[in-house]
Amino acid sequence: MGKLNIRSILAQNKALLVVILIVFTTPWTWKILNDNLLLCLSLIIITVIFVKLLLNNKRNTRLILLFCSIFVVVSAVNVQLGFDRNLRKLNVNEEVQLNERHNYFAKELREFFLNKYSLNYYKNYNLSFYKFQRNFFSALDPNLYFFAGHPRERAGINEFEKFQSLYLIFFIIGIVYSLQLQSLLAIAYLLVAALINGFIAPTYRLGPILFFPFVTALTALGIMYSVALLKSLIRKIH
Amino acid sequence: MRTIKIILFFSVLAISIFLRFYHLDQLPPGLNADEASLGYDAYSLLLTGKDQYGKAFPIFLRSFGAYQSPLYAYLTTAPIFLFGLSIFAVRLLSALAGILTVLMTFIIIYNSKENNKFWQALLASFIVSFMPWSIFFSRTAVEANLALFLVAGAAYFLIRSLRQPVFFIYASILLAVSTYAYQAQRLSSILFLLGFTIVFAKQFLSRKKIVLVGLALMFIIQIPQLTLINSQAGTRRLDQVNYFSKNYFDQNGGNLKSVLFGQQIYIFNQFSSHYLAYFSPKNLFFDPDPQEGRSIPDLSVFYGWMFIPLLFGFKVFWEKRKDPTIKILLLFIAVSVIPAALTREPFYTLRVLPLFWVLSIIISFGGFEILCNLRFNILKVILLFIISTFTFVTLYNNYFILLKYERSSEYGFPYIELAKKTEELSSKKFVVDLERQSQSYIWFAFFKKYDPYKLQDQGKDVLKNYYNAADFNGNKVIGNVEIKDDIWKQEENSCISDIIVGDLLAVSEADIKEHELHREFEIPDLSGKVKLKAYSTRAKGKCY
Repeated sequence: MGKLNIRSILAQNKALLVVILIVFTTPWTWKILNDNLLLCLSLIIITVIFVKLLLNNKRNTRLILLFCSIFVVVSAVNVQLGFDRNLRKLNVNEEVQLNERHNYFAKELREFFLNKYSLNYYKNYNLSFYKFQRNFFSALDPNLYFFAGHPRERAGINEFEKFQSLYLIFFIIGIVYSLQLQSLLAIAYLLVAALINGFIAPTYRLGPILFFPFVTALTALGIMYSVALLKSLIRKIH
Repeated sequence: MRTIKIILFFSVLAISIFLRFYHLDQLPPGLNADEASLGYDAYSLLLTGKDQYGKAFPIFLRSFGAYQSPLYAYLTTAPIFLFGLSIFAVRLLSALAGILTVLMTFIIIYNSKENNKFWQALLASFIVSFMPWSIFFSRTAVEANLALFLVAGAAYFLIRSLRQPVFFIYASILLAVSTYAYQAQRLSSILFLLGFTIVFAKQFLSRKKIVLVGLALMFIIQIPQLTLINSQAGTRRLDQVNYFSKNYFDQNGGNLKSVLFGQQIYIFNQFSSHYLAYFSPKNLFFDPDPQEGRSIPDLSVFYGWMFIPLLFGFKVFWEKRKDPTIKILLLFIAVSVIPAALTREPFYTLRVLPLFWVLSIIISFGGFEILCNLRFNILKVILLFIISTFTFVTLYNNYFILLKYERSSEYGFPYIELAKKTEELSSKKFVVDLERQSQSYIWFAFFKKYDPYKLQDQGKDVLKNYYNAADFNGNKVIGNVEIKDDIWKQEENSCISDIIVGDLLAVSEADIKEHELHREFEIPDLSGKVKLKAYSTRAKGKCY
């Protein structure tokens, strides 16, 4: 991809328009809005700031502080509303499996397993860590956002459409463009949001809302880049 | 310094050999039905020149009606000749292919233009050597793993061809041969070669003859398969698994059934979602292949922590995207997923091994970038030590322990134990229910080293139209074992004392009472759960 004048588009505030376009044509927005207006507005604000931060050459400390503050508040609300209470609890099947596996490990690993440290970790932390990973990675599934989890829909969870499938190509372009921008912000946001999502139940009715700004922002980036590329091609032809 | 490099290189090779050969015949415990079929076909080819149905030198192996690619079976005749028909002999080729892929990884990266090419190559080959996908598929008799080695070799030749065009011909030959190794390669190898020719067209403009020779050779080698393209053998696999049919759309199209061009939109959505699924971090790093016979318990194709180096690796690959080696590897990624994305299965790992191979290389690049950015060497050593320890513990627990106990049924363990039992009780006749395991005859044929001529005789009906006889019938007689779908059907005027064997649903309490059956023995899997039950009839009592 060549160096296009995305930043000039930003200067013309078209970034805001693109974000609004995506936000209002996204089923997920309306689902969140119907559930919690303030949460929805906060997510939209985070998205706009995220886009600006991605495209700004210079470090804008005030904007970063504002972004972080709203993000922290939204994260706290998300954790409060959607905390996975089963992180430390076992259901019947899990208990059966835990006991069975205890026997396998005891037989094969002997002292390496049958000591107080290993047993403590296995009994009290291993399954929680596994569930945390499950929640962490479940938010990193692009199919969840563009195809309602298809083709690996999760059993017992009401999958719903988040973004239009049409936006997928722009999302991919946005990822590639963020690579070009060498944006550590995008990677940092992705990792932090996924870590927080590790504590959120996969059954949470609104889904992984902390990824709403990430996906929207990169999709917006992708659309803006595509428009700029198209304009550049048209200018070359003329 | 040079000595240290040589020691490290051979250490990586030694680790990859150990991880692939350690207890190869015991882990996974048994052989899955496809492995047993490949092995038995190889045995039959070795002894008779024909497969288990009596087809001489088949282009596709009919097996259970899915028509497998034959190259693995043909090459396995050598280990079977040397070691006899055994689990080790059947898996040997896959293990070797896995090790050679590790070696090929080193060679490809070492021959690139990287600044620290030795260390980069060493890290890449080390990472490939202990990847879950690489270990898992190297330790089972899997045609796709052989195909991966051939494709990796072709990648190396293609990279060389940019400086020495004649290597394009060698690459074409390898890619053509790979289409006989695994079904998915029949599409992806061709697409890959064409894609390469297009992307690097400028370099080959003055060497058109070489390109034409390469493409022509690829076409010529394909001719035997092309002659069968309209047969069930040629298209059966895709027919079984695709989502293009009107029937499938009517059943699954949902709201699109009432939309103009609904089926086309449906197909496009299916393709896009399936294609994307193979790049989903959730599937790559956490959620294994849903088919238990193709995955390790609680461990997907990559270790979870590798998500972070993957992100950095993509960044590095993007920065070096103009490098020809990187371009070729990216082309691999784009093309290798296409055959899998055309099928219904949500995450069929076996079909995309080239993708995992390239992603492993990307992860190594990302890991290298992270290590280079760490200031102090002691930090690098500590980080490597912690990660290595954690990774090997995870691998050992999940593969060497959990897979053994929890997946033994997937590898036919109960039936293999039953086969041994039938040898111990060779004077008895066994009747085995195939209702929920139609392929069970192959375990008996394999472990009893059944005479291929006798098995061919039972399957000779399909010879009339071998490549169009996809309907499979598992009813067979293997020595003193009869495998059939109706275990209660008795031959006329016969009242012999048999042992009836089936899974937990085969024989009910009512059946036991009605037929006066007596429980003889039970066969559990390695987790201790009973999988097969055997009952004897009373010879002097009621004939069932």
